[in-house]
Amino acid sequence: MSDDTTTSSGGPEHDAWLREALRHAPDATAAPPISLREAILAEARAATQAVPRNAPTISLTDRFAAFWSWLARPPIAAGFASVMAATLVGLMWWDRPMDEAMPQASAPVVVAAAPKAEADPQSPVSAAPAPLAGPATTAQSTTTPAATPSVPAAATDRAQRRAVAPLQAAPAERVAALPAKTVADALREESKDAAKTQSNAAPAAPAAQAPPAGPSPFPMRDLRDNDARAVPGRAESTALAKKAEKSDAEEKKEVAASENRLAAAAPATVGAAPTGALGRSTGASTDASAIGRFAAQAQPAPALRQRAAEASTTVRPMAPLMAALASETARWSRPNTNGESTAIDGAVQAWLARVDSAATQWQPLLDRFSRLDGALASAPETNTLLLNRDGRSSAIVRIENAGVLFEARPGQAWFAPLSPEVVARLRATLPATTR
Amino acid sequence: MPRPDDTSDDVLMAAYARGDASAFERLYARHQAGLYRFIRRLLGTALAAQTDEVFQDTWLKVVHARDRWAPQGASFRTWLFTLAHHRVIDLLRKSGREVSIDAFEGEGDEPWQPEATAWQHWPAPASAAPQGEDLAFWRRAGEKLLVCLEQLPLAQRSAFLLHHDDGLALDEVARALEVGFETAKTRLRYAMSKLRTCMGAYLEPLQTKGAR
Repeated sequence: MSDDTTTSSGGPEHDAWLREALRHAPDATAAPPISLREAILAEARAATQAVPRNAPTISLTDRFAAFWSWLARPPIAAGFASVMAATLVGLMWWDRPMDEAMPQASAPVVVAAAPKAEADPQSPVSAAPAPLAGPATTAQSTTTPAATPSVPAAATDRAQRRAVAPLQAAPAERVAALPAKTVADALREESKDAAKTQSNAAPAAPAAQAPPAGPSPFPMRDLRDNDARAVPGRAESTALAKKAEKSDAEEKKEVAASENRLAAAAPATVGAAPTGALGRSTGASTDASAIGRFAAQAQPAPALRQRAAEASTTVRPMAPLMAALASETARWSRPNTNGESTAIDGAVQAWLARVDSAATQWQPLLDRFSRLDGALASAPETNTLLLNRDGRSSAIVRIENAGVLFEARPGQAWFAPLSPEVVARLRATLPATTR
Repeated sequence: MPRPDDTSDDVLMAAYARGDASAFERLYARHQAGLYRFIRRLLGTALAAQTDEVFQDTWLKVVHARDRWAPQGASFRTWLFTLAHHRVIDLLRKSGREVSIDAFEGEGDEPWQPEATAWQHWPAPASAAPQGEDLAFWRRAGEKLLVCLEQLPLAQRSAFLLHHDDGLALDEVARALEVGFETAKTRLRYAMSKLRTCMGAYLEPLQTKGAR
C-alpha cells in the first residue's frame, strides 16, 4: 500500500477507500425514530419554558451540586473537617471543667465519711444534716491524701466552688452595703449568714463538704470568703476592720451593743451546723493517741500542700468559730489561771473579731498537728486563748511574735502573719482572765 | 443576509441556553444523523437495541447542561460526540463488556501495513455516486467494514469513526476522546491497519474475479 493511495483525500491517517466503504455501509442512512426525535425536542422545549428567558437561574439541586463539588476539593474538605472537629470537641466540653473527665477518687471518701458523722453519738446536734459535719468529714478525707490523686482533689475543689458560689456572693455584698455598722456587727452577721448558708445549702450539695486540701476545718466558710474577696465589699470590710483597730474603747462599746443584738435575735438553730461540727471535732480530738495517728497519716504530699497553701490565702478559718460562739455562747468556756472554766464574754468575742479582722493571710500548717498539745503545755499563757466547748478543748488562738496561730481540733492549724504593731496591740487587748 | 444554517453550532447553543428552543431544533437537525450513526456503530450489533437510549441520553445531557456549557476551545460537535462516547462506555461497562483503556494492548510496536497490491483492484473512491457494479461493490465493502469495525477495540473504533465518518480533524478527535494528539493519531493508525487487513481478506475474491 502506498501513501499516495491511502492519503489521496487527506492526510496519512485518512483512507479514502475505507471512508467510501463506510459511506456505503447499510446503516449509513440510519436515523432516530420520529417518536424519539419528538421526545427529545419536547424535553428541550420544556427546559426552556421552565426558566424565564434571558435570566437563567440555577436550580437548588444545581446549587447543591456546585456546593458539594466545591466542598469535595481536598483543601476545602480538610478545612471543613478541622472546623467540624473543633466544634464537636468544643460542644463536648462546653461548660465542663477538663478534670471532670478524670476519675474522682475523693468522692467515695466523702460519701463514706458522711454517715459516720451522722452516727456520732456524742454530737449535740446529731439531727443536723450529715454534710454539716465539716471538721469530721475533713478529718476523714485528710486521712487519705497520700492515696488520693491530687487532680481529683482539685476537681472536687472546683465543683465545690461552682456549687456554692451563688450562695456565697450575697453575704459579702451585704457586708459591703453596710458601711455604717461596726466591724463586729458585720463579722457576726456574716458568721450567722455563713451558718445559715451551710445549714441550707449543705444537704443540697453534699459533695461540697469535702475540702480540696483537707486542712480547713470549715470548708464552706473558706469557699465563701474566697468568693467574697472577688467583690469590692471585701476590701471595704477590710478597711473597716483596720479603722476599727484604732480605738479599743469604741470597739468595746460597739461589741457590747452588738452582743445585745445578737443575744436577742440569734436563733438557736442558726449556729447548729458549725457548733455541731466543732462538737464532733472536739469529741474526736479527745483521744491524744488518735491525734498522733491522724498526724502521722495526714502528712500531705508536696503538691497537695502547695495547693492548700495557695488556696488558703483567701480563707478565714476563724469565722465558723466566731459564729459558734455567737450562737451558743453558754456552751463555750475558757480556763482561767486556776484551771477553772470561765464563760466566754463579749470582750473575748470582740478580741477574736479583731484577730480575725487583722489576720488576712491565713496559711495552713499541715505538718503541725501536734501543735495544739504543745501549745497547751508550753505556750506562754499571756499569748494564748484556749476555748472549750462543753468542757472539752476545741480551739486555740495564740498570738506569736510573727503572727497569729489558730488551731481547731482535730489538727487543723492555720497561721496568719501579722505586723509587730498588730501583734503588740492584740497581746495588750487579750482579755485579762486568760493572761 | 446569511442563511440560518450558516449559524455556527456555538451560537445556536448559546441561543438555546438563553431559552431559544428553535436553536436547539436546528442543532438537533444538524447533528442527529451523524450522532445516531456514531452511537450505533460504536455499540455494534450486539447492543444495537440500546442505540436509541444512548442517543436520547446524549441529547438530554445537552439540554440539562445548556447553562454550564462553554466552548472552551472545543466545538459543540466535539462536545456532543464526547458526551455520546462517555455514555457508550458507561453502557458497555454496565453490560459487562470489558472496555480496554489501552487500545494497543497485545499489539506490536508498529501497525501492520497491508500489501499495496490488494487495493489496486478497488474502484476509485472519488466518484460521488457510483453506479452499477461499483455501487454493489461499495455496499458489500460497507457491510464487510461494519463487521471489521466490531473487531476493533472501542478506543480505536471511536477514533476511526470520528475521523472517517464524522469528519473530525485529528486534534478534534483527540479532544473528543480526551486523549493526547499522538495517542489519537496512533489509535487511528492501528484502527486503519486492522481494517485494511480485514478488508484485504474481503478483497481477495474481488481480486481473483477481476483477474478473470
